[in-house]
Amino acid sequence: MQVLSSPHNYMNMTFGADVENRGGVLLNCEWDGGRFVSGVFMGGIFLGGIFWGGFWRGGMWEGGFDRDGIYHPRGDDPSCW
Amino acid sequence: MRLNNSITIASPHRYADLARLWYRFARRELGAGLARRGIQLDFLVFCDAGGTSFTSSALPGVRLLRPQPGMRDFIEFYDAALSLPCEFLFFADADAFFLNGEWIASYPNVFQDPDVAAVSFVPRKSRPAIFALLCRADAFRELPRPVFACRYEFPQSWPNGTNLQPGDLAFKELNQRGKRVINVDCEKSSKFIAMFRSTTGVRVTREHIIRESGSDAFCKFLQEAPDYVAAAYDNMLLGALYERLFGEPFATDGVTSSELKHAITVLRDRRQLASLREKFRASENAIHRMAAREGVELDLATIIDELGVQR
Repeated sequence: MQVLSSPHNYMNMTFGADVENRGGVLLNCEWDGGRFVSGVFMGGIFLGGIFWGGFWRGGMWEGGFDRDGIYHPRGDDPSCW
Repeated sequence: MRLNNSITIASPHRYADLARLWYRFARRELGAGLARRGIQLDFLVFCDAGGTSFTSSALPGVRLLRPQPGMRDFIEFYDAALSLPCEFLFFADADAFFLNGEWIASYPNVFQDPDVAAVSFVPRKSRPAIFALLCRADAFRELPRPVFACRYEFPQSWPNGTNLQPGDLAFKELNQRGKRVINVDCEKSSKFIAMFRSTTGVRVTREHIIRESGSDAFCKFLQEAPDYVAAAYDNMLLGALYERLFGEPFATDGVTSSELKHAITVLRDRRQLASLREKFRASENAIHRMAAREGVELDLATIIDELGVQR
């Protein structure tokens, strides 16, 4: 399993089910099925990005889109979609 | 229909200092232009992220709105503002500084045409945008909700899906209904509105990266994102004007001059450097025009020398 960690930034990248985020800052990324333990998913108007699914255990959602392309605002919880 | 009553000016802000500077120009210029023609102005500022530093004393006459259910961030704020009782709604970006209210005031008569739904005063890539958008509220209220939210079309084609920015879908829907959005072109717009892009975005990004990963990670990010280098430089310029006008520091949580200098120094790509210098010059021109509206002169030599910006 690939582990994303602090202090690293990940920009414009795609992550599949075999990835776990432990503190990485994801900017404009596609997240598809991995485990999001902590870190930042930044998207929305600034950078975009899609959270396709997976386990959302924590971290901060700063804005971005679900698999249908619908925007979710800051503080939303991807595990509820 | 004549625009003869009032306009609600709705502006989302993440940072109180930028809001203070924005409001100083908006109140004076729009007040001079629109209020002189008998149009009442109702200023509404959304304090994005709920910052406690927004105060009525710094923003006199402004209604301050805090995040709440249905208005959790600035994107949701756009739709929430549309629900307020008003005939005309003017969305104004935190980075859009009005330099000539008389010019803005020459537009409201276009709403005598019932098919005109809005005027976009600052375009994005030559198309209408929400940066400075005067709307006939009812025309937008008829559209499916959420009206203004950004979204992805064809997300399954990532990264080649279409990222619709706030308002883009509304403009398409209005067009299909035979309504018009008047689009002021970039050249004309820039004469009357000084626009600085992503000055809020770069501060937010810094906050998150430094909290999660530290200053080195942010410096690395700046090296990979030249657009944000330009935005950081814009913040330096806005800070110079802010400090001149208010005698207080600006963006104490913002990009430091050493972070910015490092990002500029390590940038090797000649094309990127040339593009960056061009953006710097455009921003310097804009800040000088803002200073001129205030009747002050700004000496930017210290900033330029400190950053080692080659001319």
